[in-house]
This record gives sequence, C-alpha cells and structure tokens, in this order.
Amino acid sequence: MATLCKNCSHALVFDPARQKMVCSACGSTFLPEEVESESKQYREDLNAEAMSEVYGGDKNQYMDCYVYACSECGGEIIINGTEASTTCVYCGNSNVVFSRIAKQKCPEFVMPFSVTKEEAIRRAREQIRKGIFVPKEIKNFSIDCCRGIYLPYWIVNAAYSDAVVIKGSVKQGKNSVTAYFGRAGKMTLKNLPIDASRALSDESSSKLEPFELSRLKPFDEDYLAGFYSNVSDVTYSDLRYATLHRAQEFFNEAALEDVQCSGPKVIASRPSVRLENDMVYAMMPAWFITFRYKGKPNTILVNGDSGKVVCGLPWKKVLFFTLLILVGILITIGAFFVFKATLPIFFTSSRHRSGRNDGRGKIIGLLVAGIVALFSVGIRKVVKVIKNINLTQDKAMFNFMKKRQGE
Amino acid sequence: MAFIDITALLFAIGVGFGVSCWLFGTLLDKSNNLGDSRGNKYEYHAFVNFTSRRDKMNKSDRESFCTIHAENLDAGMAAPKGSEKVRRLTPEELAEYRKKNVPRGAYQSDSSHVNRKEEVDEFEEWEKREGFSRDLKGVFKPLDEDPNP
Repeated sequence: MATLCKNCSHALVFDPARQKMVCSACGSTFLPEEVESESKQYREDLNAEAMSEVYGGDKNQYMDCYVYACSECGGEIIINGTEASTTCVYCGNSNVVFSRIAKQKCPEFVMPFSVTKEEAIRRAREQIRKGIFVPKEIKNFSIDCCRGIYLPYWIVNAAYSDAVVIKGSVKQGKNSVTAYFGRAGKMTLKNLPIDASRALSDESSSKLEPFELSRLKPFDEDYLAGFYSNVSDVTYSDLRYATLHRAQEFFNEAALEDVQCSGPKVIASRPSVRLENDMVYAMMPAWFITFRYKGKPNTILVNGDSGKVVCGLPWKKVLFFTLLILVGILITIGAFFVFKATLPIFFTSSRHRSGRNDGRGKIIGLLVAGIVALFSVGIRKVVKVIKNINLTQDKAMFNFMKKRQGE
Repeated sequence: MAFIDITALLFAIGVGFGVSCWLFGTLLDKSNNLGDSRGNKYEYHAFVNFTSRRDKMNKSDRESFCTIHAENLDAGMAAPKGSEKVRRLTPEELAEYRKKNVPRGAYQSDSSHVNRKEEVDEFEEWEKREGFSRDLKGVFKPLDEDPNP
C-alpha cells in the first residue's frame, strides 16, 4: 500500500532532503506524522498470497515469494519473505507491504534517511577519486543501480563475562621469556546495534556504524515510502552469537591492554553473554550503489544518516605489485650497504673476543628477530587489507540489494 | 667476506620488503578499503571491570584459570529458545521472563548488606563528575508500553 496525497491521490514518497513526504505530481509536502493514512488500519489486515497459491504448481518452485497488488496500478508486486517495502515494477510507485511489519513485527524506531541519493553518489565518487590504486574506469564508474534500503537492526543491551589466558614475552634480566597472564572480568554493553538480516553479512553491516541513536524516530511506515526495506529474520542464536563476537573483541582488547608484556595474544577464553530482554527493534538507512567492473558486480554502501562510505574496491594489481617490488628493491639496496658496513664490526669483534660475553651476539640476535618481525608485519598487513577488500565485495551483498523489484 | 655479504643481503631483503609491504599495505588500505571502522567501546559503554588478575601463571594455573573464573551468565535465566526468530516480546511475555529471570540461588537484595561496598565504575563516576552521559534510555520507550495507544 502506498500513502496517497490528500490533494491529488498520487503516491507520496519520503524526501530525505526536506524530511517530508512529497507528492511528485502536485508538489504538496507533508510531515510523516501528519499524514492521515486511513489505509494504515487496512494495511494491518492486508494479506499476501503465496506465489504458489496464485500460480499453482510446486510450492518449492517459487521459494519464499509472495504476491501483492500495487495500490496505484493494480500490478503484481512480487517480494521475498523478508521485504517490507518495495517499488512497483510497472508504475514505479513505492509500496509498503504492511502486513509484514504489523503488530509484533513492527519496528519501534526508524532512523529516516537524511542523505539523499545524489548526495550518497557524490560522497562515494569523492572518496573513490582519492584512491591511488583505484582503476580509472572505477573512478568514473557508471552506476548500475542505486537503492535506498532500510536495514533491520536489534539494538541490544547485554551483560558479558569472560576469563582469558594471555601469552606474551617479558624481560627477565637480560633475557626475554614467555609468560602467561590471566584476566577475568565482566562488562555491559549498551545500545549495541546488531544487523537483523541474515542475507547481509555482519562484517559488512557493522562497518556502517556508528549510528547516532538519538536521531531515531518512533516508527511510522511513511518513512519507508520511496525506499526498500527488510524485516528481521534472525534467530536468538544468531543475535547471541553476533553480540558475543562483538563483546569478545572489546573484552580481548581491554585484557591485552591490561597486561604488561610484548606481543600479547589470547590463547584461551571462556566467554558468556546474556542478552537483556529490553532489546529495541529499529530500521537504519543505507544506500546501496552498484557498478560493474570487468563484468563483475561491486557494491558501495553509504550510511543513509551519517553519509559514511563503506566499500572494498578492485585495485590495480600490476601497479601495486610493481611499485611494491621496486620500492622493496630500492630499500634493500640501501639497507645492504648499511649492513655491509656495520655487520663486520659485530662479527669481527665477536671473533676477536670469542669466549667473552660482550653482548654483541645478543644485538645480532635482536636484529634478526626485529627483521623477521618487520617482514612478518609487512606481509600480514598486505594480506589483511586484501582480505578486507574482498570481504566487502562479496556476492551475497550484491544479491541482497539486486534481487528486488523496480528500477 | 662472503658470509658478511650474504648475511647483509638477507637482512636487507627482510628490511626492504618488510618496509615496502607495510608501506604499500597501508596505502592500499587508505586507497581501496573505504570506511573500514566500526563503533568503538565508547559508543557502547563497553568498559571491562576486571574481577581477577593473575600474572606469570604456571601450567596448572593457566589450565584451570578459565574454568575457575568463568561465569555462566545464562545459568538459571529464562529466555526464548535459540532457534526462535527474534521478535518484540508481548508485555505478558516480558513480565513472565522478568519474573523468571532470577538466577538460581540468588536472594532478593535487602538493606541488611549495609557494610557491602558497591563496585565503583570509574568511567561512570567520571561521567557523573563531568556532567556527561551517553545513556540513551530516554530515547527508547519501554517495550511494554502500548505502541498504538
């Protein structure tokens, strides 16, 4: 069902720039809370028909799809099991499929879009242009699709307890020895937003944080007009796991900071989390911008409230590795002459003073350890960045955005 | 001399490619990995209150530390089943869970514990002193309130 303009009966959509419902036909504007929507009550009773009931045949053939009738043109709107608002493929008008978000499924809060589609695209382009390893074609990308989607979130309060064993190195006299530390403690988490859509990975959605929760408004389905939206489809186990995972990161960070050693690492833990039952269901805005590069789809996320741009972009591999190797060779040549000039001092001195512990052997040992650590840190940095980039290019996110009706 | 040259070359390769990888990893991160950050502990008031600290533990200590100090927060607590879809609980369900959510063996707090020292959260104290609060309780209406009065 669309909310209709009381002046001309055309469908209204929410305009993030004006924070009002706008009629594209007569130009009238209304505040969402002012819109008298007689259809709201009717929507609660509106039922979808399963696609298999409409078309007959095998139930599995259509999976979890439902058919609604567009309030503007009567055309068929086909949605999957988790969508709450969409666009009619025939007339382009937005439709809120309200029976999905009625009663218990209805969110309590919504954070309206405050970043417009144009602003989101501008911000994304601005960020991408700065990248030195971003291919030229991507810097001038042509948008395949740009959709504003309200993502479901559970904002949870939780208690967390953990006991961890940490391994690290400490100085003992002149030597460095491995030591073990134990830390146990509790913490509470307040207003932690957890993505409630199974189709979207938590890794990607958590990068849209932080959300300014004071900007949440009591839920009104009129905010959904003109945008796509999903309802929560996660289980309590999913929510517990996601909360525990985030809480564990905070706990481990604090525990590692609390021990005095070098190279601390958590080697054992026993976490426990309790979700408080006062969790809040809210919808958060995000723009999904897609483009194709070498035939592959890529998705850029933009927080619909703060405008934060999140994406891992394809990179110029040849340029990257050529520069890395060239600079590596240059530094190697420079370092070679430095080491060639300094190493004989250590080795010759050690030979002449064999049997005397003057600490030079230890300096060489430390030097070797330092170089191995530096090399390992460098390699790990590159691997981590490439992994993160690939993570935000995952196909599941593209499918989450793409498999919807409308432009 | 050849030994010195080979050692110097190996050291130089380690330094050269280590620095280069770190440098270009950082550049690639800034260039192509946009918005790679999440809400931090300050956003969610996630401050740890350590209840036990052990340094330089021996083997038996570290094997038993987690078992001894771990606390199962879920023990004796009522909650919906893990396989259930998360949803807003009805006022009746909330009341029922609140009633049941008393850990086994717990006693109701009373005024007889006059000598008990309350744990002090340093950050909360600081917040109070500074007149600063991140508590967003006021933002949310209670779940048991009728959404459509």
